[in-house]
Amino acid sequence: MDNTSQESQLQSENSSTYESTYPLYAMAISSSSTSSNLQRIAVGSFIEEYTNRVDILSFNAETLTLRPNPSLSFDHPYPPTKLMFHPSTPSSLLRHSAVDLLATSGDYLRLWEVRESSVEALSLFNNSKTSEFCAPLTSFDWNDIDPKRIGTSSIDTTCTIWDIEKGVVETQLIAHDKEVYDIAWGEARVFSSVSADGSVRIFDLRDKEHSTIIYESPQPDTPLLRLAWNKQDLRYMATILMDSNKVVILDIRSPTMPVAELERHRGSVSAIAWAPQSSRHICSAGDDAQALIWELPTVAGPNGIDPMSVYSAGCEINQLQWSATQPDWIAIAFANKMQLLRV
Amino acid sequence: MLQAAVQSLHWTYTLFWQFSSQQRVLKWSDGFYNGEIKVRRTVEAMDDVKSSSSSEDEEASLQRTNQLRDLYYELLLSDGASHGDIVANEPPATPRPCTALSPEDLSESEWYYLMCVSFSFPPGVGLPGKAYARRQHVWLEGANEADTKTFSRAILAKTVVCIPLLDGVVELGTTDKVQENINFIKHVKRFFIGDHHTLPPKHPLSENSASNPILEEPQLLMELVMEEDSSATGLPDGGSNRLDSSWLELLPAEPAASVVELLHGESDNSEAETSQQLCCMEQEGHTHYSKTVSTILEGSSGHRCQPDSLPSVRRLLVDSFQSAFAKWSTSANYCHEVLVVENPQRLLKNILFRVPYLHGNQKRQNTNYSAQTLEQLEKMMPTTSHDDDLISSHVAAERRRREKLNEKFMTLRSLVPYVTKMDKASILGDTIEYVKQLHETVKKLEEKDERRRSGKKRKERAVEVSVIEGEVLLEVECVEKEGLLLDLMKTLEEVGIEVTGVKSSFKGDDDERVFVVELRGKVKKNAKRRNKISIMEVKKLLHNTINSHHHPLP
Repeated sequence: MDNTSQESQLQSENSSTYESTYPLYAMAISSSSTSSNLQRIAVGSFIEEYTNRVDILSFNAETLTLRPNPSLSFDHPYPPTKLMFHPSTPSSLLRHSAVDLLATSGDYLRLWEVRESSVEALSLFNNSKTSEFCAPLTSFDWNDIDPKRIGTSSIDTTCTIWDIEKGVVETQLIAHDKEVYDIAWGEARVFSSVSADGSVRIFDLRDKEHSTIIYESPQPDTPLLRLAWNKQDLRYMATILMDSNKVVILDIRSPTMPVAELERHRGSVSAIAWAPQSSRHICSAGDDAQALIWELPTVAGPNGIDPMSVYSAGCEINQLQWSATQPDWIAIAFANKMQLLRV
Repeated sequence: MLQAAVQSLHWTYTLFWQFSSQQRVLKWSDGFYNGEIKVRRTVEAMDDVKSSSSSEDEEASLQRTNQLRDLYYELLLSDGASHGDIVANEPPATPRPCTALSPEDLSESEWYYLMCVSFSFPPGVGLPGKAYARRQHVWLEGANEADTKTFSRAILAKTVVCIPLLDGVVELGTTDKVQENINFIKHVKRFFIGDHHTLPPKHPLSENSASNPILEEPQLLMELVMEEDSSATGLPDGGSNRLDSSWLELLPAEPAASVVELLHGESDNSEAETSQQLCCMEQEGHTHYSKTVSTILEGSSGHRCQPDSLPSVRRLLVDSFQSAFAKWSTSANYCHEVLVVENPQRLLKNILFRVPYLHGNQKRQNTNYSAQTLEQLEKMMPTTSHDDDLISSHVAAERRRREKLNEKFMTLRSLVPYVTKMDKASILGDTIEYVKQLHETVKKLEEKDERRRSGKKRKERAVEVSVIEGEVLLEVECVEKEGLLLDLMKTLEEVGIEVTGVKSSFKGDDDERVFVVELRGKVKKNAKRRNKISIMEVKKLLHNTINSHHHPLP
């Protein structure tokens, strides 16, 4: 793995690193930038205890500085499983536009208002009727076409669609036979989810009775852990299996047969993200400490598809985010660090 | 001023970089394009037009300059992205008229001009920057061969001159190689300072012609510099072919030729080419150029629903010296072995498998009313870091047991339909209901099966007879019997019905096969029989036939 010709040029002009005192997992990049060209990035800790924190960092793309804001840090019960900022300017939900909305998932879906120098808890979305039982969330996705919708996935095999403006459940579907691990919106009313039962299913809110299975893992019951829907070309989705070094690319028009299986990682893949500005590029990162950018060709060669470029971090990469507001930067998280890499 | 200067010189273009004090950079402020104008995909030769009327030329060039600028802003706007470097001197307020340019209409040099609009230089950086910093002119000859540090836009112009003037830098470029000449500089300055002297003497220019085999009259360029009014031998680029070849020649390396194809390719919407060539281009390191190209192209074709042709354009930035990512090389990296890690996807699995259950335990700790005594047991023992290993392991075991139970509850819930609530009591209640229902269903199905097996005695016969004007239609449905059809037909024959058509088939399940037959016939005019045959009689006869056929089934 240590091939000198492959060592990435990590210089101060093409990357920016933030080191935290605790391991990081969840990460989100804001879709709005404040006035002074600063981008907000939220990072969630991963501590196997009750007290965890979410920190908000500021990234200045011109000076390449990544700085935490101590006043914009808040507690979270147990590690947040996902963080996400509001997908567009939250004009309808907030009084003034200098604030950001951040959603976190853990035991419940929570909304936080990130202001200039403080973070306020806005709401908590709890669907359980009794207080005894709660169905913790593994992931959620904020619909960027209809931002009042957030879809959550839970270990109780259901997916819940929330109307966050009214603060009520729009619908709750039993999505799978086992725990649902990830959910992703395609259009305003279409979402898909992956589960421990090894299937990728697409749901349409107009027809809640039926779902379409577009892929099932070849070894039955191999859980599918993550899902990403290509926002630039809604035909394509990507998913990763448990303990697998493959990134499976699916075409929703041809179910059950993956379009491509990208198999160049030398360790299991932990995170995937489609390029926000291009329909043919995807980035993946995994236990081999590498982040690979792939370009999907129209015709694959006989040996499979090779990635376009590679970055080697110091250790296993756990998280990957590629934001539409900063398409030139890819954010990765490994160990205690969060790094922004110029593409 | 710019216009007059460049036209007198007959160079291809001129730009004025203005120094913006608030941003401390040199920005594109004004320019004039004097090169070839592409009209309807054919390149009009400048010199042809020139001889006829120079004033028309000027207008055409001016118009073209404005068009190019408007096009650029238009594309910027439609792209939506604010290209921070641009100083929009005259942001277009009106939407683009349909007669305006679209990217395919431009020739390569026009494209280059367009590109220049996007650049900006801090003092000391780049050719204009250096000129500004040194307050001295900079003459770059063979700009196409210069590396990116000195001249990052070395695509088209072979010679570029930057002269610091007024509050910025005037840049002139041409597709010819021109040697450095101080008089040239002075000449240009004169335009701006407004100091008209007599023309300086001509300079011989022998070296130039030898170095540029394609261009036929390069030396004339220098002469033209000296003269205010030139004859029509001006620009060396005579026609489209020559421009292309000189354009190609300007870019000796193979990747650069791809730029031409790129520009053509974009207009022809060929995706595969562009991506490949752009990948080559990136090796040259023309990052800014390519970035601008991509911005423009993306903006223009974004509306044409061809997202695929452009994503690779954006990918130009990979492998440029600025990227943190290194290019993938198959030989070095392609390795079959997958590293065996002790705990693959450790953090991800933790987040998905473990963390959600942590919440469950915490929740139970916090509730006041816990239904299970076991939970109460845990409450009595604090779960925070405790010295007593025995207690904590017991608690952990307890927790695992509870987790198992919960998991089983979940599985049970998922097997049962119509579950509304998720608490344990209703899961069990619903399951009980469901099992009862299933019992009922099983019972019913068994009964049905039973009945089916003893279906021998069951009367399963149907005989339909209809006679219309001598035409007989007979439909029989009964249990399968050997030779039944033959007997039926015989019976009909006896009755005086001539069988004209038979349709027979079997239907039914596996054990009980039902014989379905449709017989058509004609009543024979028989003297012996009555003319009218009663339907009831026929029916009775047929029934008899069927009955007499009662064979025991095997």
